[in-house]
Parts: sequence; C-alpha cells; structure tokens
Amino acid sequence: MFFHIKELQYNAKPTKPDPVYAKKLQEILGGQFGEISVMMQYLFMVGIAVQKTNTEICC
Amino acid sequence: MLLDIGTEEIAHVEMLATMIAQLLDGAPANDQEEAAKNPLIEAVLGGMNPQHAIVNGLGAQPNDSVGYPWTARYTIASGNLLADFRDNLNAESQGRLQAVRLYEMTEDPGVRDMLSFLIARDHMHQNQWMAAIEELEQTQGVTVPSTFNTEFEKQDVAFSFMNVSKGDESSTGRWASGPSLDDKAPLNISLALKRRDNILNSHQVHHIYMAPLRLI
Repeated sequence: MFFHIKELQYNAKPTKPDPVYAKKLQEILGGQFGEISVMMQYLFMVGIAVQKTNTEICC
Repeated sequence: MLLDIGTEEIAHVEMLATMIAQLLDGAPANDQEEAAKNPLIEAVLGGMNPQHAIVNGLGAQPNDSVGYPWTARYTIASGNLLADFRDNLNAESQGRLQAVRLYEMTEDPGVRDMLSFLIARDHMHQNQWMAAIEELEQTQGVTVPSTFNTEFEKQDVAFSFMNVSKGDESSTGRWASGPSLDDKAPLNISLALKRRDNILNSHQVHHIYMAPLRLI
C-alpha cells in the first residue's frame, strides 16, 4: 500500500503564469513517454514479478 | 527497485500536475487589444489548451501536449525481466530527451529548476536500469527469451547478417562479423547477399527500380 505526505518530492514554482507552456508540459506528464506511463509500467511490472515467484511461466 | 522507482514516478506525476496548475493559475494580462481585456480569451488566442480552462479548471489533465488521452497501450509488462528492463531504459531515455527539450523551450528559472530535478532523476534511473540489465545479461544471457533451445532455430540464418541494400557498406559493421554478442557463434554474411547483388546488378531490375525515383 501507499502512504501520502503533503510535501512534493521537489518543490519549484514558476515566476509567472504561462498557459501555453503548461500545454507543452503535458507531454512529459500524459504523453507516451511521460510520468504516468513509467509509473503504471513499473507498478504493473511489480505485480507480475510477485506473481511469477509463485507460478513460473515458460519464459 | 521496481517499487522504488514506480513510487517515485507517482511523485513526479504529482510534481508535474502541480507545476501545470501553477502555470495556468492567473492568465497573462495584456491590454493592447480589445480581446485582451479578458485574459482567458487572450490566453486561448495565444495558444493555450482551452480544455485547461473549460474542462480542468486551470489544472493538469492526463493527456499529452496535443490533448491525446493517456492510454495503457503506452506501457508493457511482459514478465520477462530483461525485455521489460530494456523497455524501461528506453522509456527513461525518451523521457529525459523530452524533458531536456522542454528545458530548452522555457527561460523561467522556476520551471527550469523543476525540470533540472526530473532530468537528474531520469539520468539516475537510466543508470539503475543499465545496471539491472547488465546483471540479468550476465546470469541468463543477452538474448530474450533465454529459455528457448536455440537448436530449434533454423541454424543457417541464426547468425547471418542479410544485406538487402545496394553496396556492401552495411556488411562492414560489427553486427555482420566477429563473434555474436551472445557468444554462441561467429557472425557471417548471408549467402542471400550474393544473390541480392546479382539481382541488383542486372540491368533489367536496375531500370525498373530507378525509374520511379526520378519522378520524385
């Protein structure tokens, strides 16, 4: 399970709003190689690795 | 380690979503035009994603930079650790490449500060996956999957480089000669190469293939 703390892993603030750049930044959040992809990929790999220790499939 | 990095990536999702919300909070003011009197209209005209305002209340969305929704098809988890870790290394490589490009697209010191953190972590994660890949390669071999009996492979093509382009340039690389990287056999240049050269050198086929190229 996961616990959450309020502090960000690293906190930085922009000096001024920039909604056009916010749109660009979406790429490394929800894009093909964004953080959501690696987050989901690694956590699902954990699930399979745990399961594989009990039942070994062919390769 | 999978859980360590996986958990850290949750934190990175949180960081990016927060940064995007901060960048959207308070649209730029510009009174030069009539439309600019409404800062939201000005921002949309300037190229912001209107959904950030309409759908997400000036917050981040789980979509890419052109609004395409995130899909689970971006991910892979096969259960073969070597194949999976190699994909992880690629994901960290592509991710760092894009973060660096985004770093170059802004001069805001706060945004660059956050990106410099993510770029550094992607650097370390590449190192971690490279180390894990090396460890697996040393214990199980470099070819995936390592469990299949290679005697069942068609032996005369298992270590052959096939040059299907004109000339011999591609046959001079390390991939075409020397011991195979899994140290199972010496590499060779396929006999098909000679057949291919004979075909390409014949005047008739040369004519057929070159004619359409001239049209371009």
